[in-house]
Amino acid sequence: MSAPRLVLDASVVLAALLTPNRRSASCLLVEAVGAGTLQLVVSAPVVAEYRRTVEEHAAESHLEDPLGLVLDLAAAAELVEPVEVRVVRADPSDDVYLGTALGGQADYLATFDRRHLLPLDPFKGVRVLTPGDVLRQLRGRG
Amino acid sequence: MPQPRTVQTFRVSRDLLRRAAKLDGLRPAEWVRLVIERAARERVAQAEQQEARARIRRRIDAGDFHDETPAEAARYDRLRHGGR
Repeated sequence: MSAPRLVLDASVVLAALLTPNRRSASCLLVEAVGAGTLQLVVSAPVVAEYRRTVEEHAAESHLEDPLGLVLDLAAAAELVEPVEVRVVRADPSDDVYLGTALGGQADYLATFDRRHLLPLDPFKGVRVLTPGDVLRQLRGRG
Repeated sequence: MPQPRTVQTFRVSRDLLRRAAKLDGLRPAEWVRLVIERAARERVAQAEQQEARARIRRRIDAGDFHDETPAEAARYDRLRHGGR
């Protein structure tokens, strides 16, 4: 069975980077990507946002090499071309995640965005969920 | 060059042989040693990844993780959007 396909919002990458709780849902999602349990899907603008946000907050991270996390994620990911989407008028940067999920035929988009993205669940077949809810969806699907 | 028969004794993949063949200028014995060592390292790496997958799968199935609190979730979302 192929691994479920996942897009990570940069807020989830930041959570894995900054949390002191190594048992957090965002950390487990990132570990699952590294182990190949989940197939991460990215696009160029998504990786650029990972890099920008991680660079901005690298000093607050518990990791020795914060940017290494972005490189590891990019190395494990499948790079796709995002589909053009105009759904979140208040914040077009959110549309990139939706477009990447559609372009990469993702099963899940993991995000903490309660204002714009989470209310869209499901979006054209993509489940838009918090990291913890993505993990609960994966229970028993090994 | 060593005979392929010698190397096949160690069940080294063709892909690995092709990559090892790029190691120019090595004595045959050294070449074979490197091929075997590399194969062993790859087997260890594969085993470690399988172990990591199994460990992660057990944690997912057992619900062995902590949801971010609403305050944490709001903070990470705010940081992503350029706030402090």
